[in-house]
Amino acid sequence: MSSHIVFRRIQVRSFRILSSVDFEPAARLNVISGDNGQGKTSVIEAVYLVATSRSFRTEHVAETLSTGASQAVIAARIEEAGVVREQRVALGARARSYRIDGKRPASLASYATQTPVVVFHPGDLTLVSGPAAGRRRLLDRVALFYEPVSADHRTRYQRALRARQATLEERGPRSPELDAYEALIAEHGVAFAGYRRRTAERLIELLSETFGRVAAPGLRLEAVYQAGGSEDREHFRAALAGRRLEDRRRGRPSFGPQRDELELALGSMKARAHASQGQQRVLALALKLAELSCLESARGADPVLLLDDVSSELDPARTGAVYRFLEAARSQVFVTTTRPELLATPELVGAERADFAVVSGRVSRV
Amino acid sequence: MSSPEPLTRLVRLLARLPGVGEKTAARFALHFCLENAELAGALAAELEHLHERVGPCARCNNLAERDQDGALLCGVCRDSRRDAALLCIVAKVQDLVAVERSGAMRGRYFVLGKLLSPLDGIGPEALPLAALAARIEQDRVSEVIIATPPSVDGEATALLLARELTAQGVRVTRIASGVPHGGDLEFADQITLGRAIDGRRSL
Ligand SMILES: Nc1ncnc2c1ncn2[C@@H]1O[C@H](COP(=O)(O)OP(=O)(O)OP(=O)(O)O)[C@@H](O)[C@H]1O
Ligand SMILES: [Mg+2]
Ligand SMILES: [Zn+2]
Repeated sequence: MSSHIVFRRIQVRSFRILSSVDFEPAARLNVISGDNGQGKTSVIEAVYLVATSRSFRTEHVAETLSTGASQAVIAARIEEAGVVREQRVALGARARSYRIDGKRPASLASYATQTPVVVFHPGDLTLVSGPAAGRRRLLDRVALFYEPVSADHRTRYQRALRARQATLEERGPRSPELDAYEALIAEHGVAFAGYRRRTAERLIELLSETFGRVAAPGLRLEAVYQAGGSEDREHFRAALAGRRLEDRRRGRPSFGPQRDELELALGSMKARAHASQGQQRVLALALKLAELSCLESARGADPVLLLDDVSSELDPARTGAVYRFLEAARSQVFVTTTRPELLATPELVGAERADFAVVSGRVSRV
Repeated sequence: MSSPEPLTRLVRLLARLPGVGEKTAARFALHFCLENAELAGALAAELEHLHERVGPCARCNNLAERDQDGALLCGVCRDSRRDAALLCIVAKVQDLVAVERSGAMRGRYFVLGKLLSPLDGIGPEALPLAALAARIEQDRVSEVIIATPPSVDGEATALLLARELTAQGVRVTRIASGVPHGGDLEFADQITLGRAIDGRRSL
């Protein structure tokens, strides 16, 4: 049976519009409401960041520091199987620190897989409509839970790849150190490609199931993983050596997992180019639900759900999904909305639900 | 600021030391000023002549004390019980100190001073490869242990060296990666390093 993860207390300082926030969420549903621009998304972004070490809104975490502040701090008390831990992230303009119960984690991957959370937000649409990089990020995030060492290979792969590209561009295709960097690229690239493929297989398997749950009957999904690299070291090395001139000319490497694609098609039409808005939205939701199932099975715990900007007129699919989660899962859920009246939950009693109002970055219990 | 100018200058200098912040620097400066003038004098005298007395070893780049004739030869290179045919290549003097502390190395050393780093414009010609080749030739080195750090640049440097040295007919080994990934040798504990040297593998 999966264990249960609950945020018991969340404290935020100098993060975006949130100058100082301290609140105790309910075990099941937390409804965070407020007008536009008051800081609702920032609250769940903070929860996501303290759990995963990243933001779902930006890759440049320095942007999230409150204007003029030199450090942001997010701390959370999290209960799992009766044991409480404290996770804490401090963000500076350049340095960041991560602590679990005051101690440095063995690796960033081990920190980021402690507390599984899945966020559903309007930007998810780009998982379907946007470039392949977003889908690769999803695969890498899921891979982290199945094979934490994948992050290490990915980082080393990317470093070696940058070193090779710099060498090609600055020193030409015959520099002796290219052999050394290409050997390392092949070593880590083969491992990285393996994680990507295995993760894609898992995700695709669960995706066909979640898609069936949320899509209109009769709509056929085809999801295919296309490898940009190779899982054979010699092949990988030969491909790199053979592409030196081309990669130098193009200014970027043309072979490797940085070119992987998770191709999604409805019927026989590529979803990115041809699916309707509504279909893309349903597909994005199915992908996120597949991510959720993956994390759940890999981590053996129900991920905490963060749902940004739920309003029924705009997005019936996602609002419907909220209700189904609440019925089926035992997960703790955080929802942000400008229309809290749409989220009536008569079945949740007393301490199971808490409502919070956000005004100018201040959070108070309603 | 109300403190005297020389004190402010001293604090600024001390704060440039690794691991010393503004606060600690101020504490040190006040200590020299108010509590321990003697220590201040002794320190000043040592620092003044430091670079006349100590410099890189002419054979291995380890730190060495200048002898009466002005030659720089480090303790390891002077120690005749060391096996001259076994040579350990490290990136920095700090790494040499760490390997020495493990007690597992009975040969001598060669300090590269830097690693390949294409993003900083450091290529093979910036490495002391000629000096290394000469050293191997002179000392009839038969085995080279490459103990560069396990970072990407450290590994790439190891591969490059291995290729050059194997062509020179030397047996080349790499310390086992018992050292944590991304961690500096300097911080690796003694047991891990000792094991890494004992468990070295051919390259
Ligand atoms: N680094 C920052 N420092 C200070 N304020 C910031 C920072 N980044 C964003 N903001 C401010 O935070 C506010 C937006 O917060 P947020 O996106 O959380 O609002 P929201 O309540 O989710 O709004 P909406 O309902 O429109 O989605 C904006 O007014 C923005 O100017
Ligand atoms: Mg918002
Ligand atoms: Zn010496």
